[in-house]
Amino acid sequence: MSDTRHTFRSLRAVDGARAPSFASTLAAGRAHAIRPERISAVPAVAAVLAGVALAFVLVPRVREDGSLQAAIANAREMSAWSAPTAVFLDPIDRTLQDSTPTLALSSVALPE
Amino acid sequence: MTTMEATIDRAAPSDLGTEVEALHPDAFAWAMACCGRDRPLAEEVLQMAYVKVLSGEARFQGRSALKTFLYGVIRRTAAGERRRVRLVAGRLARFARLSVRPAPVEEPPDVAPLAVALTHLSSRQREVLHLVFAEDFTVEGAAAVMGIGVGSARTHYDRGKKRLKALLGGAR
Repeated sequence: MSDTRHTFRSLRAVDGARAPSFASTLAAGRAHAIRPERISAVPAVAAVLAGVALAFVLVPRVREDGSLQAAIANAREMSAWSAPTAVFLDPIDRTLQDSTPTLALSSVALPE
Repeated sequence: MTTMEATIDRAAPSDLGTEVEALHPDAFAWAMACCGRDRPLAEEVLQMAYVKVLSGEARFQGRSALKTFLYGVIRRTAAGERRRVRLVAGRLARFARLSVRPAPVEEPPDVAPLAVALTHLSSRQREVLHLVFAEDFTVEGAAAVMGIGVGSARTHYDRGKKRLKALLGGAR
C-alpha cells in the first residue's frame, strides 16, 4: 500500500498546485456572502397566494360599497319587470268569468 | 465596506487567517476529494467554507486541531452543496436528457488512474482514504473530521481500500 500512499500524496500535490490563490478564493467567498439572500420559493409562493386570496375577498366588497345606488335601481328594475308570457297567466276571457251568475236560491224559480 | 465584509474582518484575527492560508493548498485538495473531483464545485465549497470560518459562523474553539476543524467545515459544506447540485442538476438533466457527471479534469499520467478510480468510490470511502493516505490522519482522526463513529470510518476505510485495489488492479 506504500505505492498507493505515494500516489495519493502525488495527487494531493497536483491538486494543491492547481489551487486558486487564497486571496482570490476569500474575495470570491466574500462577494458571494454579501449578495442578497435568495428568496426561498415556499414563502414567496405563499405570499403570492395570500395576495390573490385577499384580492378575491376585497374586490367584490369594494364593488358593492361603491355602487349602492346602482344596486337599488337594479332591484327596482327587476321588480318592475314582467315576462312576455305573463299575459297567458291571465284567464282567457275574464268577462265570461265576471258574468257567470251566482248560484243562489233567489235566482232559481222554484215550483209553487 | 459592507456589513458582511466588516464582520469577516472583525472576526478574523490575522493569525487565524494566516493559519487557514497555510492550509489552503491541502484544503483545496480535500475539497476536491469531498466534491468527487469536480473542480468548480470544490472552488465554490472552499469559498463558502472560508467565509464560514473567518466570519465566525463556524466558530473554532480549539477543541481540535485547526486542520481537523477546517476540514470538517469543508466536508459539511461540500455535502450540502452536493445535495443541492444533485437536486437541481438532476432535474435539469432529466429535462434536457443530459449527463450530470462533471467534466473530467486532465491529470498527469502517474495520478490519472487513481483520480479516475476515486470517482467510482462512495463519498465516504473517498474521503476516508484521502485523509488516511494523502494526509496521514489516523482512522480515528478521519472519523473526527467526517463526524462519524470510528467503527463506521473503519468500515468505509476497509471497503474503500478493497474497492480501490480492484479498480486499480483492473486498470493495470
